[in-house]
Amino acid sequence: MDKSIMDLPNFRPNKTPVKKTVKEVIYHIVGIVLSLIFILPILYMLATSTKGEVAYAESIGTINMFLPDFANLGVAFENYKSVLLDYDIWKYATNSFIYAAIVIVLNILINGLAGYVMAKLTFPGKRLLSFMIIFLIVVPVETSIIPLYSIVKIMLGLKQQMSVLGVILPAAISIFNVFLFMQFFQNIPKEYEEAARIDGANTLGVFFKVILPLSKPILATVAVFCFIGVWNDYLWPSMILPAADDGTWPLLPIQTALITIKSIEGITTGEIMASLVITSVPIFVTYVAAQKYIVQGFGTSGLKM
Amino acid sequence: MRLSATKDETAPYLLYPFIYAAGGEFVSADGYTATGYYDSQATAKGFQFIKDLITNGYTSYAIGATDFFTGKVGMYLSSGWTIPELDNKYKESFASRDDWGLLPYPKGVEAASATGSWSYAITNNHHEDKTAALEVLKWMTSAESSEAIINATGMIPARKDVVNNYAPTDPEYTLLKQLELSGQERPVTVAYPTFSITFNQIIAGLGNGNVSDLIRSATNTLQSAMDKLKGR
Amino acid sequence: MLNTSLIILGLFLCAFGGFVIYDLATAKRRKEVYRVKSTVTAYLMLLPSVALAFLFILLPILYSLGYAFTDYYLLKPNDIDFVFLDNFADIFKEISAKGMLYNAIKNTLTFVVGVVPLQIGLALLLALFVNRPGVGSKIFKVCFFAPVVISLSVTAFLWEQILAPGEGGLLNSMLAMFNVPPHDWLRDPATAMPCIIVLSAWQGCGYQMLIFLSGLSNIRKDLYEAAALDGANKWHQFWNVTWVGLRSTFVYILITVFIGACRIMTQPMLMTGYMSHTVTLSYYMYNLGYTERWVGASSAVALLMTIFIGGITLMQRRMFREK
Repeated sequence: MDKSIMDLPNFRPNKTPVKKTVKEVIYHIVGIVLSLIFILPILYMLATSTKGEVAYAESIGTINMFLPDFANLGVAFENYKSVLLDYDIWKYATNSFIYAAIVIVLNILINGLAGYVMAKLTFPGKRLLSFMIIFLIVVPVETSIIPLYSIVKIMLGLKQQMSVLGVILPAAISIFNVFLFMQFFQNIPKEYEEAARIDGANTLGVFFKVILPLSKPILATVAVFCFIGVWNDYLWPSMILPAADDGTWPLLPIQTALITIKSIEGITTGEIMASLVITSVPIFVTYVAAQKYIVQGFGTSGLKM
Repeated sequence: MRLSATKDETAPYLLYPFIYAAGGEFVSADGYTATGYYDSQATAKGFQFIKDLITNGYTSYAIGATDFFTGKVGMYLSSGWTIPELDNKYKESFASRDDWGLLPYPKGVEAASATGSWSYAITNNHHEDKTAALEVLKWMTSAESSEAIINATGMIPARKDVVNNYAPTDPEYTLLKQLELSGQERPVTVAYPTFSITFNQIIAGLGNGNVSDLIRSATNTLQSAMDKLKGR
Repeated sequence: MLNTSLIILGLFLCAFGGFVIYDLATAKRRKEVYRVKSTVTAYLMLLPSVALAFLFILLPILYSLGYAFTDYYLLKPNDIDFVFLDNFADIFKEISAKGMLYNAIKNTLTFVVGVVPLQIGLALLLALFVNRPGVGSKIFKVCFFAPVVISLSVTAFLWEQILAPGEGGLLNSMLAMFNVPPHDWLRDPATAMPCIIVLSAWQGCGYQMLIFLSGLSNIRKDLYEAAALDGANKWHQFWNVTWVGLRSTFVYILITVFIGACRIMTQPMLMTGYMSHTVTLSYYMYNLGYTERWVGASSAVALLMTIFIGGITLMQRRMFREK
């Protein structure tokens, strides 16, 4: 009999690829529409930051809302320059970077040491500290922010320039990070420690020379989330730091300064958007550069920051 | 009018004179009673005036911060800080001082205008050197300091003896005269933060709300805040 | 205040001392050996973290608990009296009089009920959508995640501009193309909270999407093949394989988003100011304690909120201990 492969009931050589391509095209169209919807506000923000006030007013209601002002690109430069220099955003950004750097270093040292001790050492009284870790994590920060203000301002009396300590020190201790470090260090095999001790290292030496180098992933994750937390924080600094108007180097971090900048008389919408963009750039860079560690942050004990 | 500026002190600062101009009041002289003042007929008239401006289309919540500078609206309720802006920043719309002018606050039953910029105080809780603090206070309110401030900010000086050579045709002159002749301070009360919040709530609700309802709710809130403060 | 703090420090040290003595006494029974040198080292290494935690975490919590029963007015820190349950009576009165606290609770509930399903639903759908190989889905994933990069305060300012009243606002001008008249989104009590819900979900869902993706990647592929061989169609596959595998991730996300939603404060504060149609619980507390300076009353509200949220967080951590 002359049966060929074409007679097999399920063999459709041409239909499957076409169906697949159609599906792919539909998928990509839907994806593009969804993506546009999501990033439309961001495109608007970027586009507006390049426009002068008159150009912005004209572009409303047309597709140009989302497109930068190609005709007057010099204005874009003006907007960013005025926001950075005249409104001193570069000073506030520098402040934020410095605060973040200090907080990250302190955070790793202080919480890391604590996590290491809780993970690896035995000592009387350890149980009380374990209980404290469990119970202190669950209290939301909003409920203690005003007594914290009382403590920092009234009891410790941190005023004016010293109030920077009131911003940095509370951020340096995080029970959650202690917990994270504790869990991570518990998984480091004892052999590393023992080898180092045989070589004569004391406990502190073990921490710095053995544990920390082995903990690069968790250190990166903690550093990244620390940076994002410090950079985005606006409320606490606004309560503690003096306002920026006495001629000396201002102390405000960038997100807090944003609130004041926004209500400066005569600021154009383009300039406001430019300041929003500038504020977002470092976080964007962080997410791009460190996405590996952020996703890792989810994986670590399945807990999110 | 920047009716949308109800998130901070901007709206209360610019709009409270309208209530005084209508003959209204906010609080008693000792700052502990709002009932009878905040909800008086004259105060309601003041808020009604603002509401009528909205209803009749003279102003709206949609006016943005820069609409006057870009030529979208013809009048802008503001204060001295706008003068340097007009002089320096918006040359395309206002080439020179001939292109804009300054009017005082409208007069109602009386004339009232906004005052109050920066202030300095020493509190009783200040344990450290009160004498030194007093010296600082004296200097901050001196003529020397006043001159430095107005040179830096362009604001009208707070002291009469500070030299200001404003010609009668200068907008600064109008502002100065207005402050001298009709300036009235905001309500003096320990519960001022609550007052500011309730004032903002009234302004934000004026568009769609009923003036007397808004005022009644504001007065109740302010009065209970004041009651809590009596004796503290 | 310093004296009270020192007393609390003393109590804490006593408690610690108690634990130390107990541990030493039962050491033999538990076969635990304590060495002087390593104990001293441990205490020294713990000193900075415990000191900071005591000062900036434990003390504020204890004070917050204490202030809840006082009439502490921030401008008079030396004039604090115990008023016991008066603050709670005031809370009850304010809620029954439908004052700002009542509005705060109502708005917070509205927000939570709106944002939790919206944000999580979006995150799940988007995760499923981009969970496939190819350049296209990678680009889409980046686009869906982009709003997360924008901090909450920047988001609030950006959307304040988008939702501006009149034809100058972005949303209004886009709707004008369909002949819809401009609307005052943030000032209208009926639309303000829904707008905040939408923009919050927009900002946050990308983050949960990544968590879902991480969960999806942990589902074994052969389970899908097994289900397909058994004749399951795509829908069955989703319910019996995907959903089962995602369940713990989902519960975790549910609790975290819920807790985060209860604490919302930035959006109302920066977009509308202290208004009765957008005030939330945290904003109410912040305003009462910091702006109006009634720390006592604010701490009472904080206590109730802590019990509620702390309870849920504790529950969540118990649930995930097996990880």
